[in-house]
Amino acid sequence: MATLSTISRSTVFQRVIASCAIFVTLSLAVIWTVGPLRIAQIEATEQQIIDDILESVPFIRNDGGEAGLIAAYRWDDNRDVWTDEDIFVILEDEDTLLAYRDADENITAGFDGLWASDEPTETELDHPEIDRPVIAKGIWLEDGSSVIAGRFVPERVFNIQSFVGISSIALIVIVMPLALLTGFFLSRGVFQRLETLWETAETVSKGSLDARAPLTGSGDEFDRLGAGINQMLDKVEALTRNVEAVSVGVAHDLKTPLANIGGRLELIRRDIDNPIAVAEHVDIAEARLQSLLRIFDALLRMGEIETGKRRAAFQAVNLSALCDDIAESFAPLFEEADKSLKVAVAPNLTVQGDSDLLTQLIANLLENALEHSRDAAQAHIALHGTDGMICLEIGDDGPGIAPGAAERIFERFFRADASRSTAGNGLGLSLVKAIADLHQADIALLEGRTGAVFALRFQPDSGSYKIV
Amino acid sequence: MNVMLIEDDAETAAFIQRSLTEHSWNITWCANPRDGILKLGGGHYDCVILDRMLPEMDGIAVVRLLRGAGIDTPVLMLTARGGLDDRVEGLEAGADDYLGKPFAIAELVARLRAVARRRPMVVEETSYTLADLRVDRVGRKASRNGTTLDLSPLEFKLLDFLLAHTGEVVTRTMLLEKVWGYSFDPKTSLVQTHMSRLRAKVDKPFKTELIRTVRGSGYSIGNP
Repeated sequence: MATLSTISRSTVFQRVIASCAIFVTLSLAVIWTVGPLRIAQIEATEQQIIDDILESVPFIRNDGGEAGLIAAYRWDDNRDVWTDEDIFVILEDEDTLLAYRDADENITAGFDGLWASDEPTETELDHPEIDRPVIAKGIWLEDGSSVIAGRFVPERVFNIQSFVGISSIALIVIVMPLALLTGFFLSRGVFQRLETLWETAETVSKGSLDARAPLTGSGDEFDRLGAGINQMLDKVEALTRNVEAVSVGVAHDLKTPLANIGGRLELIRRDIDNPIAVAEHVDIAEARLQSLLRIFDALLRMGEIETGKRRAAFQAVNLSALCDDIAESFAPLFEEADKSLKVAVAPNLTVQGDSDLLTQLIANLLENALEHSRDAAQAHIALHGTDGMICLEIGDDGPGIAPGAAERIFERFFRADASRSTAGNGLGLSLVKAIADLHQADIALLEGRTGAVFALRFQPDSGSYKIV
Repeated sequence: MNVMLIEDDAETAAFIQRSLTEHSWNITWCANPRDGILKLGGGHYDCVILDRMLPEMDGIAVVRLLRGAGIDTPVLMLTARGGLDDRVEGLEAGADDYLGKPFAIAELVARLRAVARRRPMVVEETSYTLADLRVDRVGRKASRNGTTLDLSPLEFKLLDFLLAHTGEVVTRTMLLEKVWGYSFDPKTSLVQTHMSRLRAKVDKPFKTELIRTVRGSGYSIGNP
């Protein structure tokens, strides 16, 4: 379930929040740097204007005295002191206010609201109609009187200030909650896609190995992850099924002969005075023991083969000679069983391999053909080179392997005959497969044949990988 | 026959000892490979049964040590079943034969006899004669009472191997290993089928039977 607490812990959510926080912080930093800089720049321009005005004041005073000063700054119409109305006119004209005070700081001319100061000072004009402050600076003349120039702080400064303020609030009040929401929905989206995968994993871990992650078919990263997990589950299921088969195989194939041996030991105790009966029990117990040991041999050997260590000892093996030899040994067995073995082996085909194991591979396949073919069947072993590969074919002409069983025949302890009543321990073909794998040979049960026919494709020994 | 048994497992050792004593063999058991090597250097033994897995020292190392010290007492090595590498290693180190555990006592007895009788540097025989059976190993021909036997190459090899062990019991697995060269035990009655075919040609048409089945062990040719 996508609860708030799980979402707040989600990586996507945390990343979205973190990236938004970084975005907001950086934006605020930019705004709070650029805004004041720009304001300072604007105010510097205004101060420059003030300085320019005040610079000429002493010269004008020296040349024309107080009258000259008043004339120069057009404190005209004999109204030397400005009224409120005058201020508005001045405002519309050039945004500059002037004041001229005597040594006692009484207003002589200009606007009575400006006070002399060495440094440009922002002062609020105590006037109900004026909402803008003034930057003012004064200059003292030799007789103690002062001239003060003031410039209204430009509208742009307030625009910038309000922009800085509003955008800061917007960033904090709108963007952050928006980020929270985006993070929430984004992570919930991811969460919901992932949840199907979690559910699959949970179902599988509870024992339903056939559960698979549903795919949307969009081919996005979640689909690919799901497909990957499904693939893994296929493999796990196959392996588990194999382990199950092995367990059942071990349980059945080992228990039955063990039980038989136990039974025979009982009988030996009972018939201890009857040597003929005892001898018979011993024979049967020994035969069971042999079949048990064969299972162990096969399992041990398979383990040994699967380590791949044998590959280091590979040598050139004349597969043709090997096939001929084994076929010669096995042909009488087919004859004794009223079956036949047809041999078609092309000469001198050589592979890199382990001749002991290749012998076992061929023998196992021939034994398979001998044991599981119909009465009076004709088996065959054929070896030939085609398309740069060496093909070994061993099989019979009936009854074959049921299509459903075909894909599982190489599994350990698997038997096409589920009742396990036929001969064999279900390890022969898995051993064959292990040996083929060790030799990097493809092995397949040929389709569309009347019998079970196995085809192996070996890389020929070119001798090219011999290190001189 | 004096047999040295180097085996660390007391139960296995006791079993082997008891079984072999029944054959009136004299068994000396050493649980420790060092004691075994010392005793082998000091006394006369016809053969050694050597376990591959020993404490302190590996069976392979023991064989190397023995051979290095000039002690050429025949060695039968007991290995794990199914192991492909074990056997090659054992033989390369200088063991004369190997036997996978677990084994039948009959198999052990047969192999010990074969190993103990083997004399190094024996000149290869060029022919065998047993009663009225003559085998020409060079021309690969066999005849009985003057009648040429029509043997397949495999049947000839079988007969040849039996004759090389005249008077000894040859087991099924010995035949599989030495005649066929198989390192595995086929499910099918491969050995039995070929032996019965061989006997049908060698013995059946003639009055006296040369090849005998030894119950629970294998086959033998000639008088033991």
